[in-house]
Amino acid sequence: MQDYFNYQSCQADRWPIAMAYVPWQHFDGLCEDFEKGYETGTIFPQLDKPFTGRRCTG
Amino acid sequence: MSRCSEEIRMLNDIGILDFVLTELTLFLDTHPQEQAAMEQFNHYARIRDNMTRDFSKMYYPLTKDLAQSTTEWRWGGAPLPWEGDC
Repeated sequence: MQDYFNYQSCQADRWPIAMAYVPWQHFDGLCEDFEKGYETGTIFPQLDKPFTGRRCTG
Repeated sequence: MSRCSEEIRMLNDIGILDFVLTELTLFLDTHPQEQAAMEQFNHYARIRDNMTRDFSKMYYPLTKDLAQSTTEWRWGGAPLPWEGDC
């Protein structure tokens, strides 16, 4: 999954602190199998981030 | 009135396409200029419309506008949620 957010290049250290920033979602196509997407809860592979109790795996 | 597997499969597929259209709607709400997403939405909306039309002809109308008929009023033909095996 191509990572659109590069902390260094976007100079995030210049942004106001204590704010939440959500990288913009780019249209990267849909999942192959809609039945599986229906079960996982999204048809966008970039948003398929199963919670495993530890670090996010998506 | 037990429901045949083909009927259940079609309903399942229509439900999945509803989900796909909902997802694309959520994306397009925040990305209104995204052409590729719009094309996907139009594509799957057409497929879903055809599937609901076919289903309504084969089994019973899923929406009131698909209940149009000149021979028999079939809007009440759908099994009630607590009927049958669903």
